[in-house]
Amino acid sequence: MSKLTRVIIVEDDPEVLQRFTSMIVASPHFQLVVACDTVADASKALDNFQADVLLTDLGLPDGNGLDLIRQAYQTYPAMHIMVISAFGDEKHVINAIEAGATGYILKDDDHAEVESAILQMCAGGSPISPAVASHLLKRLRPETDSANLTKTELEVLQLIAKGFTAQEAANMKYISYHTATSHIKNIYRKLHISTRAEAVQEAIRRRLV
Amino acid sequence: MNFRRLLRVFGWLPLYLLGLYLLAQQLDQLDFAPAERWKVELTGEPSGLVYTARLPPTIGEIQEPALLVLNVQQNVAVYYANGTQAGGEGSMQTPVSRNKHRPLLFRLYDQAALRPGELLTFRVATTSTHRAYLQNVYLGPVAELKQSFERNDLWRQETVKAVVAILLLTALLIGSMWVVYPRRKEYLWYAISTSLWAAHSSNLLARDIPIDDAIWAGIVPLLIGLSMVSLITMVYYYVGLNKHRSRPYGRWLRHLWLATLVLAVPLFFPLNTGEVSYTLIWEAYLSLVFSLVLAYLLWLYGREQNTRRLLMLLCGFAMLTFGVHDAIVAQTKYSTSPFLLHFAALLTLMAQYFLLVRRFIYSLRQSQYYATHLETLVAEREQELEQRYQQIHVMEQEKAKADERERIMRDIHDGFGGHLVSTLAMLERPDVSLLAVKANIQDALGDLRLVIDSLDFDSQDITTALGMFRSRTMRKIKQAGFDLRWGIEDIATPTGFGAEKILQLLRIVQEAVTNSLKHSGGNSITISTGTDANGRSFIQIADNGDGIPASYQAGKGLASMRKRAGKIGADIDICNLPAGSGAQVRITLPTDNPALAC
Repeated sequence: MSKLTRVIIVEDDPEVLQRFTSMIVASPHFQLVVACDTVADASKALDNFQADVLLTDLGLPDGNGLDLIRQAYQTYPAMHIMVISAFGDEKHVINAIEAGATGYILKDDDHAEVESAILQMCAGGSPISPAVASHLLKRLRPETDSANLTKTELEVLQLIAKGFTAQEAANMKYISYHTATSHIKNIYRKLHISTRAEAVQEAIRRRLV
Repeated sequence: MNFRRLLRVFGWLPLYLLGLYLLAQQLDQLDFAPAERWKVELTGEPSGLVYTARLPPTIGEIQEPALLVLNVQQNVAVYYANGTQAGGEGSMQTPVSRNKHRPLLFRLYDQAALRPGELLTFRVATTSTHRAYLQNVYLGPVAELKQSFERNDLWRQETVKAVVAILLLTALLIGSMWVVYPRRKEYLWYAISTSLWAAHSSNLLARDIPIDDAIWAGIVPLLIGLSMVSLITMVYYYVGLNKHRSRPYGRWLRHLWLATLVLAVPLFFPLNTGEVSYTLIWEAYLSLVFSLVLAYLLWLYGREQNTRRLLMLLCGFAMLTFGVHDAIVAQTKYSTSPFLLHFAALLTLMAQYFLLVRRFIYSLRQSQYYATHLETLVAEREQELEQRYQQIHVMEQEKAKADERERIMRDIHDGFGGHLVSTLAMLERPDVSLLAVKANIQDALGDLRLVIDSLDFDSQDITTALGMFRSRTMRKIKQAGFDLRWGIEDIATPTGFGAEKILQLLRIVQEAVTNSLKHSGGNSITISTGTDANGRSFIQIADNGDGIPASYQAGKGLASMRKRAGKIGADIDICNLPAGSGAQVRITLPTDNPALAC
């Protein structure tokens, strides 16, 4: 990789922040731009530095990480946003995806896992868990026009929901690993769009717009 | 009942009886007679059939002379000395006109026959059953006598007519209520009793009767008796059903009717033995029955004092007092006292009338109320039921929540807590190994994730739950140098297989995987799902190790797997694969179809 991936980390737990900071610094692929622990600092950093990746926690002392994700996604659509999840509790992950995130890492993921997850995302893919896949299958029903899944996307989701890895799903569908993870990223985008469309519809229904 | 209470409840009774006695006495003396100087001195024969009176010396000075006869049994005709009839009213032949209860006023027109000292002759006629007599005859100016005549007529005839009219009218009114509500028999019996009483009282009014004297003389006391028994029957129905949904004393009432009818027979066959007539026995019988009823009323009032019972008691004693009075009058020879019972009867029947009408109106109001409020009442009841249901629902929900909370606490305590405690113990040892501590903490986190995953609504599908288990356990399996093969296909999730059962299932799988990692000596684990020949879903964990040695004593791990399987209603089968190619754990889930359960 010719150019280093520039990373901003937002995490209020100093131990975890320290852990991720040292991982990023130690990695040959990444360059740490800012490591901070509040929404305010992160917001400033987003405007002042051109970052490629935002790693953020959700519960922050001065606000919600979801707002930060929304702000980053609207201002810099090309930015890869990852949420740091404590226990991989799927509700939080899905909220983050709806807000614009396309990936997540667990707080206790080891060095290699974190690195590969960020790299995979920068390469156009997204990590996913069976529970998230199962949730997406329920949310993005074929009859929902705004977020119609393609046949392949649907099949990949179904396999992942049953516990198969992205690699296994790719093999079973005779597609590359890269294509499989891109499908997942597309699905995340569709969830985001679908959520926004639902929000607009809800606003119209309540005569807010 | 102690004396004090007796005094409080019944203290008024002697005073009331005394009052009634004095009243009867006063009414007895009420003869509305003219001035004493107009009274005629009668000379009579012992038979009582002929009386004579000498005209006074002042007869010539009397303006428009007239005769006033106040008491005669049964009829009288007056003759001048020359034999011509001076006056009379009604028949002197059988059937004799009955003038006992009305005053008679004859104008003496023949001035020529009215000479002082001349004799007037009174010929008396009577029925076969009554002794003839004549009393209280007055001779004076018609203007003076007329007032007494009119007052007597009012008191002894017009008042009775009014009473009879009122009785018949109330009988008609209450009788028509019975037509509307045929089930309310008390209305019918009230009407019967009142009509009989009216018929009885008409005895005082009827002058000429179309039937034989003897029969009439039997009918009159019979009517009063029947009326009284009817009144008792009315009370019997009025009191209503008791708590056993039946009427007590029904048999006694039938006996009373029978006895009354039997005892009434001799009334129509006068024995005429000596001076004692059978009516005396009859009246004694009625008084006895009535006293019993009165005693019952007293007892009722003693138990509970209310207006209704008080009213009945007051009327009852009035009837008893006046009834006894009348019986004495009827048995006294030559008595000129008036009968009084019909006044008491009127009082009683009016009181009953008041009670019945009040009840009728109350039931009318009630039915009207229900007619207009039925919908509201039903709506209110429905709302009440709905609220109750909601309450029960909320309680059930809270119970379910509490149960779920308790279960989660237990799960966290058993798994996560257990790992933390053992980690703590590990740290306290002098030769603490950081790697072991890390592994322990990872196990603790893994278990916590298992609990969280099982609670996730989206993972309530067994294959997704297994998938989550895989993503959580993959690292551990890899680190142990094992390869994981994933053979999951869609299986049916049994109904009601919620978070708790999913967690139990995942823990069985986890235990099986841990056993394979620790003890199998192989390098590959296969987790697969499927549906067996019986249509039951199963989950299978197999390794490629050495299998379970025959000498192996089933330890805590296997026992806990079986226990958990029992809790979720699954069958567990732990065995070695053929030809030493590893061990296999198969968990067969319960089925929804009872026909498939084995």
